[in-house]
Order: sequence, then C-alpha cells, then structure tokens
Amino acid sequence: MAPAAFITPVAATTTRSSASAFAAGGARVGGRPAAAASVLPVVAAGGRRGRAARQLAMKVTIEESPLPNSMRGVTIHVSADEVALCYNKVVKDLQKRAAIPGFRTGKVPKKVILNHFGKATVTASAVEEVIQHTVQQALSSLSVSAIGQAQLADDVQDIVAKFEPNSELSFAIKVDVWPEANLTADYKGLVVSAEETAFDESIVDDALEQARQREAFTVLSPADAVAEIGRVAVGSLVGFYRNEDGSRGDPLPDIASGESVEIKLRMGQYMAGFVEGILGMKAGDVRDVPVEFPAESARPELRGVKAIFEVTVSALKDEVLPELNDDFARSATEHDTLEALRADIRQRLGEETDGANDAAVSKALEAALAEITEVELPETLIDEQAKTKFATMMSDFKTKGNMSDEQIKSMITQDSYQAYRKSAQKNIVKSLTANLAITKIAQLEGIEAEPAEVEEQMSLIKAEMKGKPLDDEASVRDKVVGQVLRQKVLALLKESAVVTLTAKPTEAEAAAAAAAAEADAAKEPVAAAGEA
Amino acid sequence: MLYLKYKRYIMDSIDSRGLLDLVKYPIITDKTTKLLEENQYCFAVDPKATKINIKAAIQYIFNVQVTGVNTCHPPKKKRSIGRFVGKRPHYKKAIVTLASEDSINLFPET
Repeated sequence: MAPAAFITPVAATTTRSSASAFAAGGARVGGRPAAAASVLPVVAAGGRRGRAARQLAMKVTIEESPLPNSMRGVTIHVSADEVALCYNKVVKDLQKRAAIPGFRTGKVPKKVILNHFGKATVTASAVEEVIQHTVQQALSSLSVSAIGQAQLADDVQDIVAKFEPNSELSFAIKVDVWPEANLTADYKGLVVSAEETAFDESIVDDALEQARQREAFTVLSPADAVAEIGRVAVGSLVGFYRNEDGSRGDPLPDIASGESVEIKLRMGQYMAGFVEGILGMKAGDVRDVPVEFPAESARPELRGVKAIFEVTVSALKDEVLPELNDDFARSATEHDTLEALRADIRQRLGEETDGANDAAVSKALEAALAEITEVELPETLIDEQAKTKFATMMSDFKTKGNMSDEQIKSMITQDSYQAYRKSAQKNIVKSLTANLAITKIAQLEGIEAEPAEVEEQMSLIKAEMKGKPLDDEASVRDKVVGQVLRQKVLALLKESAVVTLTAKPTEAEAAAAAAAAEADAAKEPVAAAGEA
Repeated sequence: MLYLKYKRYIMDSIDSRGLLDLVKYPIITDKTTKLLEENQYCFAVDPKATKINIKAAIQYIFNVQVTGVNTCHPPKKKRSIGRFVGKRPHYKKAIVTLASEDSINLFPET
C-alpha cells in the first residue's frame, strides 16, 4: 500500500487493515472515535449569540425583483469579509463551548473542532448565521415593508454547498410584502342596500309587562278558593328524601324547608313537580308533594335528589298586576306619565336598532368596496388573520360555551385549524380587501387620525384595564389609529354613497332565505362554513 | 526465564506487513496538541511494539524521518459490568519526535 495514501479518506475506503480504522474514524480523540458529522451541541445555537448578533453589523447589498402574489424576491450579496466574520464567530462559539474528550472546555484547537463536528456541520451553521444576520438587514432596507417571515428561494443545502469560509456568498430569499390596493372604480357615490332593522313596538310592551310583573302585589283569595296557576300559596314546607317506593325517608337538610313561605304558582318556577303537586289544594290542606331537584341546582348536595315535601297551605292569595296607567309610571319609575315611560323605553331600545342599522350600512359599504378593489393578498396575511380569528373563536367557545380547558385544547389541532381556515378564507379575503381599500382611500383623501382622538380612545382602553399596564401599547395604539381612520373613511363613504334601506325579511321569508342558503351551501360548502 | 516472562511484549522481527497493524491511532488531547509544537506526535501502538518497531512503522507509513521515540504503558483502566470486572483495551503510548523538516497531517480535510 502506498504510504502517502494512508491519511486520505480515499485510501480509507479501499483498505481493510487498521490503517483504515485510522483514516475512516478520522483521528481518534481521547480514545474515542470522533464522529465526523455529529450534530452540533445545542448550546452553540442559542445563549449569548443574540448579543454577538447585535455587534455584527452586516453590510449587504441587495437586488429586488417583484414576484406574483404580492411577493418580492431579494438577492442578498454578502462580502467575503462578512462571511469570514460569521464563520469565525461560529467556530469561536464552538471552541468556547464544545466539550471534547481529552480537552478542557474552551481549550480545543480549531482544527480539532472542525474534525470533531465535521466541516459540513460547521459550514451549515455558519450559513445559518449569515442568513440570520443578513436577512433582517436586507428586509429593513427594502423599498416596501415586508410582512411575515422571509423564505429562502433555493434549498439551504445548495447554499451550504457553495459556501466558502473566505469568499463572497449570495443567495436569494422571497418575502411577502404589504399589498397595494387598486381601486378599479370610483369609491364615491357607491350604491349599496342594507337591511334595515325596524323598531319593533312590541318590545316596548314586553318591557312594560315585565315591569308590571315586578310590581305585582297580592290580595287574600276568597275562603273557598283552590290553588291554581296565577295564585300564591302561603304555607310551610318540610322536606324529606324520597325512598324508592315513594315513601318518606330521612328529613332533608333544613335549607329546603321553611315556615310561612310564599309559593308563586307559576309553571317552571320551582323544582319539577312542585307546583303541579300543590294545584287544587285549599287553605288548611296538608299534602305530600313528590319533587325532583334539577341536576344543575345551586346547592351541590341537592342536585338530582328525589324528595317529598309536606306542604301545609295556610292561605291562598291572588296575584294582582298593577294597571298600566300614569300612577303605575309614577310609582315604578321616575316618569310622571305612562307616555313618558313608553317614550323613554322606546328611545333606550331604539339606540340598539340605530346601531344595528349603522353597522349594516358599514358592512354593505365594505362589501361594495371589496367588489371594486383589486388586490393580491399574500398568503401570510390571510394565514395571520385566520389564526387570530381562530383564537378568538376558541376563547369565545370557552367563555360563552362553558367548555373546559381540556375540551378547548382537544379542539385546537392543526387539522381543525386548517378546516377553519379553508372555510373562513373567503370572508377573510373579503374583509382584508376592504381594509386595504380603506387604507388606500385614507391615503388618497389625506385622512389622518387626530392625535387627540387617538389619545381619547387610548385612555378609554387604559381605564378598562383598571390600572394594569397594557401588554403591548404600541400595537394597541396602532389598532386604535386604524379604527379611527376606518370610522372616518366610512363616514366619508357614507356621505357620498346612495344607501337604500330594505326592510328586514319577516320570519317566514327569513326561513325561506335560510333554506335557499342551505341549498347553496350544499353546492358550495366552503361558503356556508365561512358564514359560521 | 526473564525472556519467557516478557515474551508477549517482544516482537521477534520487523515485518513490513505487520507495521500497518502496529500503529493504532494518533492520540489527540490537550497535552498532545501542545507536543505538536515541538514536532512530537503521540500514537497508540500495539503493546508488544518496541521503539525500533515504532520508528520503522512511522517512517514507513508517513514517509518521514523519526529522530526519537519515547514509550510508556498508561495505567490499565478497570471497568466493571455488574459483578464482572474487566479491563479496557490497552495500548502502548508512543511519543514520536520527527526531524524538524518533517510533519504529519493529523487533520485531513473532511
């Protein structure tokens, strides 16, 4: 065998003797074979790298080229000096930390480091280092503002392959940029129709009726009256557990009993079977009434308990509702006449319908804007929006749907998010388009959020937090500015727009529309789910 | 008698075919990298190898001039697995001094 070939890897593959062990394992370090391509220690990737990163002010030159879908391709050229800087930093980092058998930590020579971890691995992390530092730099010097994470245009492996510690490196990335809305038609004088929520006079009557119920008083019934719905029975209660055969068991804890209790005889007022059991009793009667406590009873020890109440009716009373007149208005409220009370209720409830009408018009305007706007939405933006909405939906479920953390957690999966995103995509695109159009109009019209208005909103939000510091004041402020702008733009649009209010469909029509929508949904499931 | 006692440590003759098997691997540690500055290289070699064998082997394998060889047997290391006590593989340590114009590349480019 040729002696010179001994130390080259080529020889290693062709020889069988101990010489091959020598070359194939590389140099043995501290008695153990050094793994040529071992993974770099984790510590090398984090820790104080951040501080060093700030010290590295990388100078890069970039070339921009627009790509479809509101993306931008960027080619980044890094000079040889900067590359060498990064490479040396990676090696030095490793030198500082690598625990290689036979060496004290921090005292390992560079050559040994390269041999131990393998040149490829070191190169790869040097490339990572270069990318990490230059991409930020490049993005900040872009002519347009980028959103989301930049992606490498080619494979990392290719960059690693052409990496040399002491020569220039160039690579391409692509990044989503904030899209520019393009209004295809005049945004002034939009013709929209919105559904009008008509004020329903019957809800005023309902409110008055409720007030009457609250103000009801009772008078003693005639002597021969029997207990019936609408009356009030006065008597005492003694509770017992109910045995299987229906006989009395042990007495219930005294919380469920009482002397001279007023029992309003209305269906569903108390435990199941209680009011029904009392019906037909007369003053002075004693009767055992079987009941069952509801499963969601306020007292845990009574939930779902079957019991018997010994009810002694001592008297029966009639419930009398006060007449609806000025006297009632005066006694129940601060208004002098019934008409004043009615007007007040109507005004208070009317605010809601006004708000609803306003919102409907705004919604219609936005939809119309989205129609006349052309914009290429980048994937990142849609994804971000979908994620936010998904998170909101989940927290809604938690608060409104009374679901436990485990249930919510089980619902948050990649699959469920993807399904949601697919279904919500259409809506998200619509609202994003409208938002971008509004921003564009604000630009065109020179509308700006007044600092005073923003401050006012901010102080309101701060007051809501009750002295707790805001998590992220800058982003909250951004949002507030956005809202103020949006309101102004919408107000402007509303002034110029031709709005026709259509009456809200009656219930029968609504049902028909829903049926039609369902039929549509069957054809296009994505759209239907989007509404949800 | 003495010869018989140490027979297992003695190689009878220099056989160029055996020379490749004689040198096991270079020992690279903190200490030995310091030795490199004095053109001294440290190898694990067959326990039976003599200084003469080692010199011949290094000169043959690396095509260099050896000016000195120092050897020692590092202490054997005991390892026990359960209740069985055994020894780790044992090699002789050889510190080879090269002529000043020669060198060995211990870190081939990977």
